[in-house]
Amino acid sequence: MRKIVAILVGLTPFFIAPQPTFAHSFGKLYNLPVPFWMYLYGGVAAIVASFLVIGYFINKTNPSNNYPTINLSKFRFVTFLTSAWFLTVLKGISVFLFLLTIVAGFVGIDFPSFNIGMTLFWIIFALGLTYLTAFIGNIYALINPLKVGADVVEKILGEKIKGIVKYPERLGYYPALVFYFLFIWIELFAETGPLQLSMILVQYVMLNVLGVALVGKNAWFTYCEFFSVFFRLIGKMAPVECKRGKLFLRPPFVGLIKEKAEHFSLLLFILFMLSSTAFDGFRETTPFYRLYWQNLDDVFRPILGANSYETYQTLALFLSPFVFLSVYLLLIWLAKAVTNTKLSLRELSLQFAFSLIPIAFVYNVAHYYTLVVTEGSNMGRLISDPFGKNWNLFGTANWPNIPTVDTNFVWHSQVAFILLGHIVGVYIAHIIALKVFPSHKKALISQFPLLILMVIYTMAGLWILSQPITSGLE
Amino acid sequence: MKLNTPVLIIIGVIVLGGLFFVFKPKTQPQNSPSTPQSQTPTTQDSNGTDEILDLTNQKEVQMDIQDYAFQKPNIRIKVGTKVTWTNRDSVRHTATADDGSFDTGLLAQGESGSYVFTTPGTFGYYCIPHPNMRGTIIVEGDNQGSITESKNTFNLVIKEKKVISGPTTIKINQGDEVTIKITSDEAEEFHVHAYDNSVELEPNKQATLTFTANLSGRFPFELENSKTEIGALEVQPK
Repeated sequence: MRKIVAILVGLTPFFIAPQPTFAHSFGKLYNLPVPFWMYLYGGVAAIVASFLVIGYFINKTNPSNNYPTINLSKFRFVTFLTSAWFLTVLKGISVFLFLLTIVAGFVGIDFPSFNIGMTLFWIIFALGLTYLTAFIGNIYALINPLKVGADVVEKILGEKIKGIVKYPERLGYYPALVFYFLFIWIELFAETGPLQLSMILVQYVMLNVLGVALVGKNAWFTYCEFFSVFFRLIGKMAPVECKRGKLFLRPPFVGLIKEKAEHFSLLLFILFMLSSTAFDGFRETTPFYRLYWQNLDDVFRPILGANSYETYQTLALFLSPFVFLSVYLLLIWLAKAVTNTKLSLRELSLQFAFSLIPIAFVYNVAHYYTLVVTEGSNMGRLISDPFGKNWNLFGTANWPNIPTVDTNFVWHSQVAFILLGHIVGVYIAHIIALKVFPSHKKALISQFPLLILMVIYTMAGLWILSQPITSGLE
Repeated sequence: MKLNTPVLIIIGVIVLGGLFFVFKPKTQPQNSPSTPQSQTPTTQDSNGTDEILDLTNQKEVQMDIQDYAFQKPNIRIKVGTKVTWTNRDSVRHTATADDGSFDTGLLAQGESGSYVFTTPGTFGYYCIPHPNMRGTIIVEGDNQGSITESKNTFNLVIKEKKVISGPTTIKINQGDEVTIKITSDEAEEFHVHAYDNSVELEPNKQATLTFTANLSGRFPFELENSKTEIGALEVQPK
């Protein structure tokens, strides 16, 4: 095992850093800014909805930890879906698609929209699987191709991979957070082509091999592999859960109140889910551009030199979760102050962390979902010609693409998604408050700071969507 | 991690300060074509003068940007006149129309940007980094009636992969027929996203792209060969 590690460490000089061009890796958003009146309307609706949710709770007593479930496994079809045989097929498909993505980059045309690798990774996996996970639960935990690989190695070795060192648990999810940050950076700035994407994926595989060898399979896929962490968090919203090999239908979002964030890094991870999407929207807007050129250029240019605007963007992305964190801690602190609770600020901030997941999720959906339609509809064509070599394997090479989604529909759905996330966030925060604070009155009082928090996040999300976008100014 | 009150207060101040930056009142009117500047601007010009310089007899106007001011803040010109701004300051400036119809982009010291005014009207403009710097250009129609171009015709002049004259954001309504005339200093391909309309550009030769804008949304246009995004077409839905 040590030999393998040594070889892999020796290979690290081949790691390739993408050249940043400060443009999106893949997919162009064709959304127009939401009209200003719709932004105001959405904001007012958010506030009204918050009070309705609070009003609904006024006479509710503490909720029990129980919730109704329906055993889906009594249906033969579901039993088939959870059978070992079918799971193996799913894992096989997952590994196949992962390998296809990598191979496509090396053998296919180095032109993003004509190479299946890009659409598979950025659209089908990074966006599509995220949205699917919110409905069907954390399927990635079962079919993660990297984990499947580790499973196979375990089978061959005949023993569990425990790793060279024990994972220091107080590190929490910080490794995953670092990788997540790098991933978002590549997504937003690197404008990777298919070949570069494949090289990055190969590097990520090597990193996973190293990581699993170092800290063991379980710790690695719990704390370090960021997609595992990401999808686990998203999966908490799903109305489906798996217990003792059986599938149950449950009320949506209850997964968010079953447990709290166990480490501060997980809170940061959730905040980065929120802030990275917000940042991506914000940096395209005229206010972001003005903020820099009117207020910051004179400060930054002497320090950062010629690429100061680019460095500023990376810096802003890095700082974005901390801006959201400041707002969060400030209002959690206010909740602590008004309820006079003995619980520490840290404890409270971890208790309420999961109530932010719905908001992070709807930010993502509102911002990116049109890409799944406009870029995802290329899959018909790409399946027949995955490498851009003018093949027509299944006769679908000329399938049409859906170039745009109707703008009025996009606007209304974006506002509706943000509002839905807001209502769920307020609702979940309230249930958590009823669990955390013994007195019903305190729970109710604690809601007002949290309500302000959710309104701020929601208004920020809507505001970004409504801002004019800069073009051709750089 | 232990967080106490002072730390939180500091964080709060930082956040509120940041929000102030973002939400602070605009110091110049927003892109609102519906509120044209008055014929005789009385406020907001950087030199404190109301005088309008009559340059209707000139085909080309040279204007320096110096000491944080447009040196000929208020001018009257004829349709078809080319205005060139040259930055003499050490800091970077732009000349950007309030309604987005033209934008020189950031000009470093010694750099110039120009725009050919093809439609009559009154155009207020400012400098993006220094919005207090303002100017107004009154464009008079040609009596000969030689303006044959409709309101949905846009002229883009591209130099060194940048739009130096013409709008970087072309705003039209769904269903409009749009004509984009492009002149580039080098061979390129002009491409509008989603519409997938392209036109080959030969050096310093005007190329024309005409199509009906039946898709609504915001569609970047780019120089295809060098993958440089130079602007966007914003098609408002019906």
